[in-house]
Amino acid sequence: MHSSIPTVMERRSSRANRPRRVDFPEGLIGCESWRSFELRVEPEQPMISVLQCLDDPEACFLLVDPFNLIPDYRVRLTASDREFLRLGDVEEPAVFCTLTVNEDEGMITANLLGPLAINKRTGLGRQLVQSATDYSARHRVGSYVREVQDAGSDAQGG
Amino acid sequence: MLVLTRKAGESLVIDGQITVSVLGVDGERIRLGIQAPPHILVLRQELVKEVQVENCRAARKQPIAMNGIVLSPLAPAGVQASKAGSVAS
Repeated sequence: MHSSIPTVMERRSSRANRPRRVDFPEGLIGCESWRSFELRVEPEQPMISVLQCLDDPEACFLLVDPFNLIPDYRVRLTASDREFLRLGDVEEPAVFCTLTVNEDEGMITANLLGPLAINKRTGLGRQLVQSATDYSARHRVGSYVREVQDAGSDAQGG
Repeated sequence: MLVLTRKAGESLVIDGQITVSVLGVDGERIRLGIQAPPHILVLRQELVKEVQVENCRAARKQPIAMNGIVLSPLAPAGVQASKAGSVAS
């Protein structure tokens, strides 16, 4: 099998910026049909990765490495999770949390309760529920600043 | 749905490998003991629901202006959400 010839842009970008195929065989929790994804680092925001669902073009997630934001964050993997992800004995998965951007309130939260664990070697993933913790599904991690020029602002007559 | 009535101290067995015991009843609260093989994941349903709801909220239909995102490394993970209403002293 031949790999496709890289475009100029791909050649310029680092290897890390190329989309990576990620598969969640069970889907995400409550969204079982979202199984196949592409993961890429967002060039404008190096702390954020974008997880685009290939099964539903309208489902796109922003991800962060929670350890960058919350140094004491801990993820508990059960033996069953390790087996599911086909992790080796000393192998650790990549861990991401989804971000929810509330544009109206200008608030960004991270889902610490339901992190995504991904086998770095194979791209096999599973969403976990951190049940033995009091982690929130809406942990505030930042703000969203809407651009000053807002096309939606209506003038009030006159 | 299968509906059974059990008293404190009684149990039931699911599929020959999962035992659910009623350990005690205290008003509205029922203490359950669950014995299951390690690969069986037992979760409180409201947590699963929370993750499910948040997945739907987090799934974006439209792209977002990345330069509007300001992330700030923050307080320890367990503290924040439960104290959402309090103001720093």
